[in-house]
Amino acid sequence: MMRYLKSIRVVVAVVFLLATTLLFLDMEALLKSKFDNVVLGFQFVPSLLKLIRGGIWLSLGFLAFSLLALVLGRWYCSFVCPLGILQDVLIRLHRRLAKKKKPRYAYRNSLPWLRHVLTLGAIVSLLMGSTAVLIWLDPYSNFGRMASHMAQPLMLGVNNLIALVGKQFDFYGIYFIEFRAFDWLTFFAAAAVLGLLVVFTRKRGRFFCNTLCPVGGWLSWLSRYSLFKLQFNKQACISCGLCEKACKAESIDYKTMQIDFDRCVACFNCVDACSVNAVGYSRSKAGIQAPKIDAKRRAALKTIALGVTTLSGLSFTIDKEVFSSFKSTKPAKSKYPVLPPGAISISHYKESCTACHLCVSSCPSNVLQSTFAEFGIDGLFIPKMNFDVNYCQYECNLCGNVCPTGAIKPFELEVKKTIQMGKVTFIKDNCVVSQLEKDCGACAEHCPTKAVRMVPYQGKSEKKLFIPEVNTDICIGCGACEHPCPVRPHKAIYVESNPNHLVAQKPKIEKVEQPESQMEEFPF
Amino acid sequence: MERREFFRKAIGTTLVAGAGLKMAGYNALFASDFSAIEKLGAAYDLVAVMGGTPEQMFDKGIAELGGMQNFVKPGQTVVVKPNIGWDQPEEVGANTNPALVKRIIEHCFTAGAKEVFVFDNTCDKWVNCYKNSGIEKVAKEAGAKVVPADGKNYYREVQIPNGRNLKTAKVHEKILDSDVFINVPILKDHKGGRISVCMKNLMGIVENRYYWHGHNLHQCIADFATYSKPTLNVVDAYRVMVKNGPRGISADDCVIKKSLLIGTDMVAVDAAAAKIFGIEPDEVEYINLAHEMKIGNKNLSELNIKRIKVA
Repeated sequence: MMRYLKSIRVVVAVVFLLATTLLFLDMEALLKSKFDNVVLGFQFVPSLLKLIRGGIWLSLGFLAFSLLALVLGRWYCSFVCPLGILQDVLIRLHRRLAKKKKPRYAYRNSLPWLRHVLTLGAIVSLLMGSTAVLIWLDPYSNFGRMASHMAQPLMLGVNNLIALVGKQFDFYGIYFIEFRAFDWLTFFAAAAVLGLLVVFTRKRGRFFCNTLCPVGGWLSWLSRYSLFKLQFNKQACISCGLCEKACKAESIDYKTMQIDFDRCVACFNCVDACSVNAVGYSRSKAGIQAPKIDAKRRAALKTIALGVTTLSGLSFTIDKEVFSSFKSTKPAKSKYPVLPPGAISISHYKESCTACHLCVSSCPSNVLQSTFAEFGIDGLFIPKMNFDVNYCQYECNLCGNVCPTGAIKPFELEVKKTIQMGKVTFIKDNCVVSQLEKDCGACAEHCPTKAVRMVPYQGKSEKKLFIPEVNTDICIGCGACEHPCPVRPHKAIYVESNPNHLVAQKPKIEKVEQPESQMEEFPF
Repeated sequence: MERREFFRKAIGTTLVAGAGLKMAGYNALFASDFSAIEKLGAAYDLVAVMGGTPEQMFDKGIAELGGMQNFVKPGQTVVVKPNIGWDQPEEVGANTNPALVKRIIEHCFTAGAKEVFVFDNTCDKWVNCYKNSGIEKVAKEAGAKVVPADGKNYYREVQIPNGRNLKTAKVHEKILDSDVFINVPILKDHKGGRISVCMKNLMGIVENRYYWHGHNLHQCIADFATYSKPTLNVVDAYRVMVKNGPRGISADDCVIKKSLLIGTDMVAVDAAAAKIFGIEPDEVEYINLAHEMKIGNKNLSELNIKRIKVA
């Protein structure tokens, strides 16, 4: 059995990596959305948030892998975590591509205090209602942003190249997908993280997982008490050192025959590398002993306490400042960013979203886009409804169905159609009709509920015109009016975001009177 | 270096090959629509049909114009351009009646069309519009190719020398490359344009229609009509959305008028459609502008109209 551990791990990891990547590349929502819930239910942070924020008990990946860590160690890190698996791919590439100096890992400690600080920071900030730390450090969300902003555009490019060639031969099975918005800022942020990982994996293996990752940190705390641990069979060991070189976590010291199981990511490369089967799982004895608290650790704990206090304070004060600075300098700008349907309120949304951007990469109209500091610096990259790019499709509720953390809650389509994300605001002085005294009507044309409708308008000229009139009671804030408004730079109609989503009234349906008898004669 | 060169060459070759394929059919469209009108000779300026299903009415109407073979010659490529603007089902009347679209495609193939293309630059997400309008399915059943129109790569810029406000536009390549263009709008309410019919439906063959809204919509509609003259216009006025247009809220926005118009003069057809809708053609500014710019004749009394009632 031990012999197959690595092979099993590799197979499972490849399946998870491909499945997760596929979700982010599925721009036209071909696999949505049941598949998402299955694949992402295993992910640690999303499933945790789904439970604590959304109260949804369906996907318990975090619980399963926490329990597993108490038995067999950090299996999540090598079997399921997409960023972990991505690092394994990078390590493999380094080994293949390096011409002279192949990467060799050796036993080294990797700033344990930092791991503890960041993990505790993530937990405390989560308890205080902020995902600020997780946005930066959650491995799944980081992977998501790489997939959304690096892999997806790449695939789009390939797709469009095929479409370009295909259409010359009237082949439309693969069609152009517009780059409606390429977010350079988010791209660079994701690329920077990937760049760091490339360097880390070259020099220090799974350094990220044992230094920066809060999931890794949490699981390392648990796996310290693991029932079974990878350990040396000291009689069998021939001290060849192959296991230490193979260990991406740099947690094996072959000279002393010790494995720092806290940092072991359960890849089983050591088991595989050992020619005499001297490394394997065995019942842990150390696990029962309480770890000693030394001076170093005490210092670390102090730092943690200090860091967390500062961080949480920061998160809240700046939150308010940033929002108040949104006060309109531009006449047609919502005070708050518009939240996707199902996000409930800014506080719920910010508490739960880790900016994995699965909604961004899935949104059929691309209206969901990344932000920078619009949600505050503790909410970088949290997606908003960007009506410059497009408007929310009335017949769509995909974002809530794919969201793995419950930040955007799933609602039945008929319910979603009454969620009021914001209220339409008409600025008459910006409007084509009043300014040019010409007809337009682009806003009312697109409005799915007729919260915007055209009513007779008499300007200075003789012309009979129609001008928009708004009814915010039935407005859902979908942006179908704002998006097509042709006026620049400030639109004549826009959605003023509801920081707490409301329920819109259903549009009144009045049946048109049918003529008593069919039209009998031509009217001309 | 070698790899880069390979890609450069491969892409270059593809582009050149593609352009070459296109040259053949280029501009044939505008030659053909005049010939169609000439061949009509003493036939009618406009055929109006009422009282039947969309298919019945089209069969009767097109027969009065000498059948589809008067407009589609064997081996020609055809674009059938319905209104598929909205993610709405058939009964809301926001999109052209699918049965009518299907019947027109069938007539094209009977007349010997080599290929028939169907598309619209939709407002809502195009995939959903194509699907939920029911048009994609029936068009494919009839043998047409349903092609995408979302994205600038499907469009090429054209000059509009006679335009007043609109001097250039990006037009869908299938319109530019095909021999015949059959415009199949649905008649409906549209407060910006008053009504949406033939000329308004052409906003679905250009890439950026929002520009029109910002630069005097009526004038832009008329300007574009100086450039693009469909070979044939077929107006679906079976189910007429008389309020909450052009997207509609529900089927209750429609009046069942069971009517159909066929003609080559968009201005005349739009004028007749206005009457069916229940307003005077003069209330529609783009019809007045188009008449004044001599794109067609809005005076129905001066036209030779064939009126058919289907029992």
